[in-house]
Amino acid sequence: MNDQRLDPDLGKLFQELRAEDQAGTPSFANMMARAKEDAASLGVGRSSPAGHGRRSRELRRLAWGGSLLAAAAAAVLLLLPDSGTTEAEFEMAVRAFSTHPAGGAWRSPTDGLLDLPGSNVLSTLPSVGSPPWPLGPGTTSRPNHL
Amino acid sequence: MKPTELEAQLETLHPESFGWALHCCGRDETEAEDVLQTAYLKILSGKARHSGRSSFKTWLFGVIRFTAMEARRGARNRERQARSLTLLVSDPGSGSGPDPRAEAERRERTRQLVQALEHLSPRQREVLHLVFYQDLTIDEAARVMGITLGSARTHYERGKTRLRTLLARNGTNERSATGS
Repeated sequence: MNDQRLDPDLGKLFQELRAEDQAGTPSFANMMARAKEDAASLGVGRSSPAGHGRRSRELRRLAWGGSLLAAAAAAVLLLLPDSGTTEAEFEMAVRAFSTHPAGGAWRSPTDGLLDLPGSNVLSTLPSVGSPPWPLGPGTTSRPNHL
Repeated sequence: MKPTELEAQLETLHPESFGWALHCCGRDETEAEDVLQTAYLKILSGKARHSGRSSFKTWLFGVIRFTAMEARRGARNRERQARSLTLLVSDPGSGSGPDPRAEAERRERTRQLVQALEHLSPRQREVLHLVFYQDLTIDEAARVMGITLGSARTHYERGKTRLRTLLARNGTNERSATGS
């Protein structure tokens, strides 16, 4: 409920003031025409409230484009073969790391105490060998009886 | 909202908007006109956009209020208000009604109302204008003013009491209540 109904005396005074003000209200058409002129001179172009929406749509489109480009770049980096390192070099690097896990790093004088019997097993690569059944086109990686 | 719909809504609310701009500008008509035009420009250019969270009128009044505050930030002075009050009192030409005596009495009442409102705090003045002049509820007035409902209610009650006291001192309220 509008609270002015509870105070009709004050309401009447304000309504008189309102009527007086409205008699001097400037023309809406003139004011709107001037506002449109101002909008045009400010470079708003076709003064429409859709301007903001258009801007945000463009921003959204840019954001999407940027994300797509970033995703494409990441995919290319992941899929490109690493031409700098061959498989043999990689194998050597792994072997070197396995032999001297802390190679190049500082070693404590008491490091030798940590060398336990059989610890060399942990730092060598076991050889798996070849599978006991032939592998070729049209064959599965498992024997049929398994 | 389409531009044509927007313009139609603005046109419907134009008289009330001007009344509100007039209030926000200390009843300076020229300044109120400038402020209202700037508010329309903001709306047309999309700088101010109705999101639908409040009614269109409440939102529009908020835009006008903010625009008026911007405009007045540098040029607030009491002389202008006093001049517009003087113009209000000494303007005999416009709005000649059928009964010159009744018209003069009505003008005197509105003059006293404007004068009494000048003695209230800005918040009290605002909330009373929004409720009594613009027919908004206190809740809507609170939204326009950007304050809580409880705060608006307090300003409303205190403002009303103070306004009644000021008007009673001049006898305006009694005359209005008896319908003279």
